[in-house]
Amino acid sequence: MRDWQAEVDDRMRGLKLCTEARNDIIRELSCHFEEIFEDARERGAGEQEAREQALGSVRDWKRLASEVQHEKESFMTTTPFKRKVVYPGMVALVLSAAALWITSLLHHYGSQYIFYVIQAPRYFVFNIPWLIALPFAGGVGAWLSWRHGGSVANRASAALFPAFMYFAAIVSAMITSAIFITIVTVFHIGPRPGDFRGATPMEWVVRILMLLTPWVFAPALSCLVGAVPFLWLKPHTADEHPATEAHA
Amino acid sequence: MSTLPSNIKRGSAELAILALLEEQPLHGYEIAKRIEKQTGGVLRFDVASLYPVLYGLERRGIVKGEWDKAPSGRERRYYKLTPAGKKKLQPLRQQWKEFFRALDQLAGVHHA
Repeated sequence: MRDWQAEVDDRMRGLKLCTEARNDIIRELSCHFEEIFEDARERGAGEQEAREQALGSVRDWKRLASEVQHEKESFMTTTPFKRKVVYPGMVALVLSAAALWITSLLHHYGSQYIFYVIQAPRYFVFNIPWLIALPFAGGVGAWLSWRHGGSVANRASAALFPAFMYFAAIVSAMITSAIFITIVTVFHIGPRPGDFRGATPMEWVVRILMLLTPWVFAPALSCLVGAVPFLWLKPHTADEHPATEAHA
Repeated sequence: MSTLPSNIKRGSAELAILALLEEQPLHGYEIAKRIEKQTGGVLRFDVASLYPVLYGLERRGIVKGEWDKAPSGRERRYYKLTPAGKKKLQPLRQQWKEFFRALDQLAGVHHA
């Protein structure tokens, strides 16, 4: 059996797109040539003649690759994952960061009701107004993901995107500070009170939970609450591609 | 019958494709075949002229392509109109009608 994909792939060398997009186009064009070839064979053409009819229908492969690239690159180089998870998630992240900024400002200017502290056995500090605002951010993320055809997992991931980012930020900060403290205190003899070097494994767990609970777990739950109404919606296929104004 | 110059073909390609897809989802080869058949060979699209137009329509959210099984059992990429495409079709038809009416008034060109 003729390998049309190899033949088309070879001729469309000028098509520079991400692998997924490129393979999809090569596959589709190959199907078209295969149909021309088979139609020609049914009409009685020899194999070589049918092949020439199929591939000969394109006079300028370079131009075809260039035209296809022009149409596709603005759309398909953006992967489905970016459209369905990353971009909606970034919108949710910006909204959550804005809410955090506003509540921090309120706290800075004297509001007493921003933070709620639990002492068990260490301080767990929750930013309550922020947590109340986060369902909106998560809901927007999930809705945008749904609008772009995202699956339930995509929608949940987009809603949880701010929590993932806060987790990444906290882990980065912990690693950086651990390295920094190690370097700064390398000439000190023995651990000092409060120094992480003297912490037991249980203290480590508590310290990490002190950071993760108010800044990752609680926000994740809050974002997810906002996403719930959009998780049950039927997949949105009508407007999967970002429609721009069509021109005649 | 002679074929039309490429610029007119390209200009009318969108209307031809959208009108066909209004009836049912079709893959690229079927679209090309039906256009050729239904226009008596006046409009004829090959790979090089069809797919850039299809991808342009897809980029603008007017059609949507999805891989699906053809009656032959093989996978083909079927295009269907999106709601944006359905909205686009009626004004496009109207524009072409006005275009032919204007030509008719100017040069006595009648369209079918």
